[in-house]
Amino acid sequence: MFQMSSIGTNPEVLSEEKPLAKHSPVSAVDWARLVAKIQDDDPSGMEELYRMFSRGIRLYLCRQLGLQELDDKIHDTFLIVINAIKRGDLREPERLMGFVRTVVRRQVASHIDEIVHMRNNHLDLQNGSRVPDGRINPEMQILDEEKTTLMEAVLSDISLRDREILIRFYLYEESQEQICEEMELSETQFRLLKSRAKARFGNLGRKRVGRNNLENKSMRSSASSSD
Amino acid sequence: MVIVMNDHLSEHQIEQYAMGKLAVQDCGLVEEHLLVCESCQDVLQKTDIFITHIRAVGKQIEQKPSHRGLWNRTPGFLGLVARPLPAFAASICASGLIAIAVVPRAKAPESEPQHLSLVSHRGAGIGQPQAQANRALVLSLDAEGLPDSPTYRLTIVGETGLEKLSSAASAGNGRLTLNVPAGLPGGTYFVRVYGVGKDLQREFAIVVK
Repeated sequence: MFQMSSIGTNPEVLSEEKPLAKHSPVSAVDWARLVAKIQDDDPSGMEELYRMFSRGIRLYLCRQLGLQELDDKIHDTFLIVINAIKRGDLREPERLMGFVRTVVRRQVASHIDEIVHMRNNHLDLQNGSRVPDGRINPEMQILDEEKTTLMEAVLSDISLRDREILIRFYLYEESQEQICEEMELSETQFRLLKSRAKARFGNLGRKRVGRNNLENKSMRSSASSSD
Repeated sequence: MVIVMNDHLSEHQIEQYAMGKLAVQDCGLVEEHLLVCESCQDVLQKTDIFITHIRAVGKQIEQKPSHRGLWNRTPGFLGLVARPLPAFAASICASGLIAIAVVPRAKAPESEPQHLSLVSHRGAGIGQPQAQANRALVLSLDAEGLPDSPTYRLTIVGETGLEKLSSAASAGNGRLTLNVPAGLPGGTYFVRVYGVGKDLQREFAIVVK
């Protein structure tokens, strides 16, 4: 009754369970050497630690707490990690990643705790509750709207049945097993559909960026020719 | 789920993490890997963006009267009723059957409790969870990282701090479940988790409309 042509079974496209690349940078790191450098107050060790972890810590904190005072929080995290290493609190250097994760998680927990206590202990003297302005800046809003338009294009491009699958999974958070059972799908078909939707979203985004770049270039060239 | 630290994470693992569905025991390894691996960080960011926007657009589609509660909530052949006209016309011969079958399904979501998953994410990745006013709610709270306790006390308070509901729950699979059979009137609420003592351990915000 339903056409499944939109969810093929080409094994080349089955990227979901495939690792993204062969080896991650984790395998190449000599943790003991890095920790020893930091303990010896070697600036290159701290530099290496910062280069290695700063992006990951930024991403984690940003996902958990948002952008506010992000740089300060990253700085605090590094200070805690470096001081702890110097004090010899990290006994197994190869556990450095786990150690940093614990510090970052504690930072998040203490920040949330702080907010909760502040809300409980501070009384607003003005009438009514004060609600933070949740709006994003105009530039981000445009980017956000553009991505929403891209997603609309992706969803309008696929069949209603495929759209139903994606929305049941992402919006209603129904389990893969439930969706597959109720819609008579195999696990492979399900994963392939999601993979393709993501790829389509990414491709449309890249095309849009490419077109914008071309438009900018042509505007610049026409501006220079009119001079 | 097998996670090998020296390999990159799979898209599936990253998606599970982004949606807060990863098993507690796997979460540590995934987060450790994400702290240092730029390639997986990029995939996570893209996944976050994809999920945020598919949810936003999906909600818009769901709010359209022609779609609400029909095609995206009806399994199997019932999904046909929301298909374009030709497909619908082709199946109209079974209209009697469809009419009988669809009416109760279309109304079902209103009477069924709304399931809401509350995770301890704050920031741009995931928006504030929203619930429908005066509809039964089943809240599933992220209990990962909470201090061990046989039971936790869960309360729901309004914007002014007035307690609306209090209940006890024990954690299973890293989550706590709180049933709100009568639902909540419109407003902003905070779901609070207390451990053995009276110390507040965690708080989640929900918007009821």
